[in-house]
Amino acid sequence: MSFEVIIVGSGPAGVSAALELRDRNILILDVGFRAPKLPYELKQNLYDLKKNTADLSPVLLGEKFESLDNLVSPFISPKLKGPFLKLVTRDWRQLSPINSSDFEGLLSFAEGGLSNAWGSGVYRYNDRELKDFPIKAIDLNPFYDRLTSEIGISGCDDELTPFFGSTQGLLPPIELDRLSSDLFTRYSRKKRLISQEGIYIGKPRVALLTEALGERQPYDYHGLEFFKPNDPAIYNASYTLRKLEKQPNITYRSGFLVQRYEETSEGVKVSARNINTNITEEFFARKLVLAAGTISTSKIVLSSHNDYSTRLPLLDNAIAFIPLVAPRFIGASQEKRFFSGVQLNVVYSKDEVDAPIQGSFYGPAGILRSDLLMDFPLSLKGNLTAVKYVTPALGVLQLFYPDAANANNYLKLSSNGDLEIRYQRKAFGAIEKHFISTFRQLSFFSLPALCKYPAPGNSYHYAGSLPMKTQPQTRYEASVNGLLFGTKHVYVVDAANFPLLPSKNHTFTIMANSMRIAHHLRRELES
Amino acid sequence: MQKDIFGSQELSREAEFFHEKIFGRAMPAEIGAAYVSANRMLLKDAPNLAPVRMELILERAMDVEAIEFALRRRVPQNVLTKKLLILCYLAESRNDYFATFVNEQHQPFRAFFKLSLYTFRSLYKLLKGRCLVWMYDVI
Repeated sequence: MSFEVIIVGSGPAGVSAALELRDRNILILDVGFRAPKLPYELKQNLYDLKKNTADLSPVLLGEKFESLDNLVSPFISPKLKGPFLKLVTRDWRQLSPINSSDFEGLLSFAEGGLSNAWGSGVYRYNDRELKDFPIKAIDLNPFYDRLTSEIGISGCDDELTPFFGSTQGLLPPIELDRLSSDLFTRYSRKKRLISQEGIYIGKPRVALLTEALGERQPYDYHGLEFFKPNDPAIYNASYTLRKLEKQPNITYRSGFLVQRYEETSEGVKVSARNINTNITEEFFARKLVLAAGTISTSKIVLSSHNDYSTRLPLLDNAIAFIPLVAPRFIGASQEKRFFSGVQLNVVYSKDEVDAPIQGSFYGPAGILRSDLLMDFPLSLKGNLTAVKYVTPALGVLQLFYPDAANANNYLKLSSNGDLEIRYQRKAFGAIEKHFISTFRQLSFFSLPALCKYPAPGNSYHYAGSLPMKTQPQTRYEASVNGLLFGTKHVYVVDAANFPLLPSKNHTFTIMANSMRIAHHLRRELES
Repeated sequence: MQKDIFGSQELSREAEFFHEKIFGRAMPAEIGAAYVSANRMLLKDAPNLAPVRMELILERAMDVEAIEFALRRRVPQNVLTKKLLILCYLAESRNDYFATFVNEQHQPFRAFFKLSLYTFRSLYKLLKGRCLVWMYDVI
């Protein structure tokens, strides 16, 4: 059977392209692991559940102790280690192994991809951030607007509006927890002083409902994000997929790992391995849209060319964690109503830095206390005391650094078909020191020695391997409209086509850019 | 004959001993059973962790908190720290331990008093732990 368009992947890029092409005859191919069912419904907040349930280990730790993976494996975000969120990273090492000694990234083959466990921050790129892109903010704005009403974004007009752009269609901002509210109040009082340091603080833009949207109910502030998958109030690409799947012209086939494509006179032939039978099947379409995520999309393109030598650039938002303590909250009671994700956004922007650096401030209330236990500097019983009394006073500022192509950071296909990635760790410290000294003025304290710098790849924000160019010149560059150079029918719509990776979470721009490319593709199909 | 360090009996004995030292009370049977499974699942194939002579610690009923603290500062990736952490994770998921991990009342003075006390106590434990590690060659 032949389709007009085959879309590879059901993450934010794939579903956004499908949304734009929803009146065409589409096949979405995906591995598509789904979330397992919780053993019982979680109707209370995290702390009431912990207090009222004799044994919550099936939900918090898992039958196979999935939440304890961090004890013996490399660092993995707490967002990805909860037993019912393991679907996000399920089997990725078997399905697409990566050989690397310095890159600790991962892939997702879940339905909805990494949006099953994302921080849900949604930010528009402005012209400063798009400076090396062959497009301008004005090209993306109509798609940002449409997505805003489609997925539901909360936020408001404040200090960060110059960085975040239009407030059109936003739902009211999220309720801040006690610590973040205190930080925001202090910042509001000393705004002028702090902004002289190039630091601006404001409410985040998050794909979280503070009001009902269609059938989706507003967020309940139960703080269960690390343990409960698919909260309808927090956007997940699989929600859009579910809606699209109901249309007769859209077919979703899960269980397929796309391996390569080949252009024919009429379109494209796509080869995909059925992961249940291990048999390779072929699918035909007029156009192919690659939306498998930067690394998987690059692998498909390299495999299609049988290219085992080319090094494609790889961009990654390096991250730094700065713990901040507000001593006035030591010994405060634990808040039970909260959102585990980003509470406030912090932007560092000065003339001497090339691009703004964005950070997210949040509290650790949503993770297991034992995750923090060995981060305190006392003996175990002392640490148990610290984790009990200091956690309500503890916040974390997570900084994301922008990235640009660099010959030392690349991915390539090995002769055995596995991916090989090299990524040089960046030098940190100066910006963190600046943040620490500035936050001291807000009575939030830290030390440079307490900052943590996870290995490259831990942001899970990858980009740049097949960049869009005004005049693409190699088969690993794409046109402004996402068409891979030298092909007639193959489009790249995920972040692989970003020539640059700004500090802001790139998911919203991936979605808007994917829709933009799909919009051109639709016009081409109609012509 | 060498003991099987992942045997049910050995691990249960270990869990009971650690639990008593850290939480100061008898251990529920469910935690013991989960401790055995978690050790087998997570630590059986963990070559990057520095081994620790558990049987010696148990036989001599040594101060495990002091030894762990001294080891953690010298070799953070060691088996004893991971075993105690496993026990804490298991305890945290049960409501009988809620008050050990979560503060429900506003009590800043108590918090500062306890934290100060535990800071001095930790210094003592560190010195004691270093002596024990040196004297008994536990690692």
